[in-house]
Amino acid sequence: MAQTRRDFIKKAAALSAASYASMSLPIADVNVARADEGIIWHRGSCRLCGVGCRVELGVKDGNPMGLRGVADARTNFGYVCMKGMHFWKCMRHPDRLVKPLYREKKTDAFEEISWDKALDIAATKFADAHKAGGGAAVGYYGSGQALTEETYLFQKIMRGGLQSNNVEGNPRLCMASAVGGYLTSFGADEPIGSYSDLEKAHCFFIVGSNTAEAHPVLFRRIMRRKLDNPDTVKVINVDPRISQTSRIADMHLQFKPGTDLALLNAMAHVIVEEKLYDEEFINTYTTFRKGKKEKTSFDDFKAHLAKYTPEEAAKECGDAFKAEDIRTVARWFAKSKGTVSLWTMGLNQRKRGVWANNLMHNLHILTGQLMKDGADSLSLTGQPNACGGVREGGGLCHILPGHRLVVKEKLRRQVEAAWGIPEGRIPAKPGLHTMAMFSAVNEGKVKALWVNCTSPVQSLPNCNLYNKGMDREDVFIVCTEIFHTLTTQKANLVLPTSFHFEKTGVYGCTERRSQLTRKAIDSPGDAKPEVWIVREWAKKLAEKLDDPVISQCIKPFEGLEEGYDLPKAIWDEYSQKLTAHRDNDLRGATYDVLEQMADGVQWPAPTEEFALTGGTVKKFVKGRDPMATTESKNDLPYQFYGPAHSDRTLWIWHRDQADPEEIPDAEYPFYLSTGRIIDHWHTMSMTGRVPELLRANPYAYVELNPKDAKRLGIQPGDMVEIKSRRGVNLLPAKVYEGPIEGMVFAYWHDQHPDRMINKVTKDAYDPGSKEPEFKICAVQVKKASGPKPLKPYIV
Amino acid sequence: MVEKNRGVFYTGFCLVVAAAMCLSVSVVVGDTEKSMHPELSEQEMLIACADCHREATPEVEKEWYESVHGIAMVKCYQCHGTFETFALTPTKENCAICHTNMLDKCPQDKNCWECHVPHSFKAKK
Repeated sequence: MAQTRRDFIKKAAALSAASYASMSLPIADVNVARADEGIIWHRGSCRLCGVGCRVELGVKDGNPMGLRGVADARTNFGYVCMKGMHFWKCMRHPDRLVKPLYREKKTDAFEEISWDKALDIAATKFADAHKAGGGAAVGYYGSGQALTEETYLFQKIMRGGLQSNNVEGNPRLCMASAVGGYLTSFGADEPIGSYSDLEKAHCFFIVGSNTAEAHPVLFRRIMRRKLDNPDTVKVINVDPRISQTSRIADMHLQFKPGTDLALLNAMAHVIVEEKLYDEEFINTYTTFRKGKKEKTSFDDFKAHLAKYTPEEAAKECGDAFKAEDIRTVARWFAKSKGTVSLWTMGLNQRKRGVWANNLMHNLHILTGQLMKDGADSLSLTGQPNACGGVREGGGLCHILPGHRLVVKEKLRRQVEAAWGIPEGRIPAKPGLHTMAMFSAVNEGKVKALWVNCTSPVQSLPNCNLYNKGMDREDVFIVCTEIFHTLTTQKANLVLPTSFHFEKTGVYGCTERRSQLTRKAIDSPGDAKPEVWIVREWAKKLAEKLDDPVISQCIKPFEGLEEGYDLPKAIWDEYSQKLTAHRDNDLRGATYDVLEQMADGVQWPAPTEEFALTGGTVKKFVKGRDPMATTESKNDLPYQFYGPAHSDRTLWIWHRDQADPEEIPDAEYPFYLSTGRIIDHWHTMSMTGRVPELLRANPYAYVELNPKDAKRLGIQPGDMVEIKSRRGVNLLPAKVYEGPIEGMVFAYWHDQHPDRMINKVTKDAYDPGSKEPEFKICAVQVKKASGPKPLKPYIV
Repeated sequence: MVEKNRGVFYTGFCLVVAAAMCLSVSVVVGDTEKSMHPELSEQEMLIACADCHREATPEVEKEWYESVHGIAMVKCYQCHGTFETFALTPTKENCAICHTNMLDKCPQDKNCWECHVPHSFKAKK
């Protein structure tokens, strides 16, 4: 593998000689975290990732000056990562969109137009589509980065106004399997515990998550717990790729991609065989299930696990670890004083992602590693408001605000009554989930699509296929964005929006915590908050469709100032009317309360008095969760009142190992997996414009195991072709003991057409959650050339 | 604890810039107190700091990598800035982004590095 020094110097010469197209990078901005002369510090949440770090933006004379962490916030205790400390540089960036842009045909150049004309065009196109095809012909595709007020208002106009449940968002691509897992195992979405369990845990079980890079500030807390207690705290990392997260692990189990369901079942096997389970907890609080309506017994479950011996599982996982390692891990998990499991896309983005989530929860239910301090089954959220805005606010095609299912008539009636619109206005049938929505775009069935704060052109799996549909001239696309993205390049209308701290609203992070960010500076140019855009669009829509019900949807918000009063009114309607007596009861989390709290409020928080204590740290526990008392049915200390389990028990599932949709074969012999890198956020439309972040990781790479690289004659820095049945990428190589032999790993942030890995990934999806299997597909890998000078690419 | 093989990972890039640094004796024009990084081409600036410094200043890179900053992936540019804003010695201002409360508690007349060893961040004895 080793190269000679002469080889390296040759490469250096090649790089130095490369022509380089300079990009628009504002570099003079220096953070002034401590200076206080003339600077006012405004409290809010970080814009990037699902941790929910609390930060302060320094503003002087109306201009952003720097950003710092908030020390008394229980999410981050003052720490921020490099993305958090730099995102404020997007605010005055010269690339900001500052005028509405329009083109009739997607092949035309954009022209600047007025807001009045832009909103008129958007309303006309949606009205025309609705007249031609009803609610099925329109769609909204939103984001886990939109504020709750924004997602809520968009979906209200779509469902109540346009009678369409075609309301989706990018959390379908990352969190839907976690939702399915929580609902089917615990009867209620979102975690039982909180980050505060991390400081009390004695065992961490991290699966399919590179926490160190995807949730860096949370990883710091885990790292600190481990480093302070090296002998008494165990860290287990289970992943086909050794990552930065593995550095703090006592044991890393590296397995063949797609075999982890067998591994999790084998851990349950050991727990049952060695009687490491909590019998009293199982007898009191659980039932065993083969199907939603098919109950089984502990003995059936034990028989089901019989085939998942550690020996068989180790073999199925690729013989990269020993059977005894599974026994050791199962014992650590079960016997510790408190075990916290953490996972993200490695489990969620799978064809059986819900099953994978169920198997994680099984381990916690069996061992009683729940409800007590230091124990939780904690699915980490990727985006800052996937939980608060989309999962809770009604941002997916099958759910209404307040964790209500569309298919339940009683729940639709509650929403219609809250909105003051006629019964039956909200369609009874769920809309199109993300992959179905973009398939309908491909077929020209969705004629008008609103894409808000996300870039599906780059982030959908097998994106070549879906990008064809977005190119269609008979599909009108409007984007609301702060910067151009690859998706704005397929839009007819691009509406410039206010960025974080340029508007007001709430984010809800992983641990059921809602936090307010107030407007601190004005938006550049003519950029406007989305809530203003939606209200004004809906006004015109009501005129064009001559529909008073659309007017009714925005009536409570008429005339309100958009920087604070408008989002406050929307939050009040949502929290007071739509979350009352639901499991995410947020009535106590008023703007007044949220403004008083350093770090927001964890739901359920039915009253302001309780919300001012910080809210519910542990769900379902009497004395800690007020709803466990108000919803109590007996004298037991734990009350599982979630909406999905009428029997009020936790369900232990029979779930078998299931192969991925696509397995390597002679023609496509390698596994491909993809993921984030610490310096960049999603499709890098923001982080790619911050020079410090861009330079840290300007391109996507493909990582190869040294044994595979040697076999293929690939040296570090060589250009490598990664080809699947769907598309091809040309990426520079990193060679290290990261991915397991037989697997390559690529970062997904790069916008360059040659390095956009979602051209290669597969669009199979979980039949329950509809979340795609980004994490596994089969590819060919071959050396294309030696190192080439590359240029960063931001559209 | 699990360690990955960093040697193979980065060697392709280390010597690239090590060579460039050996050849570059000039410094970026400007405040020498702040801007002392050897001049690099724009293409070379796209190589991560640590990839180069593993060769150029191996002791410093190793000390950082094994520190809490290294484990938590607090990277060079978070304290030292990027090339145009480069500060050889970070100020309290740089530390304050994450450590505001500690700065309030620490002696006001001293810089952080007077009490904490640079790159290992352990308290000086």
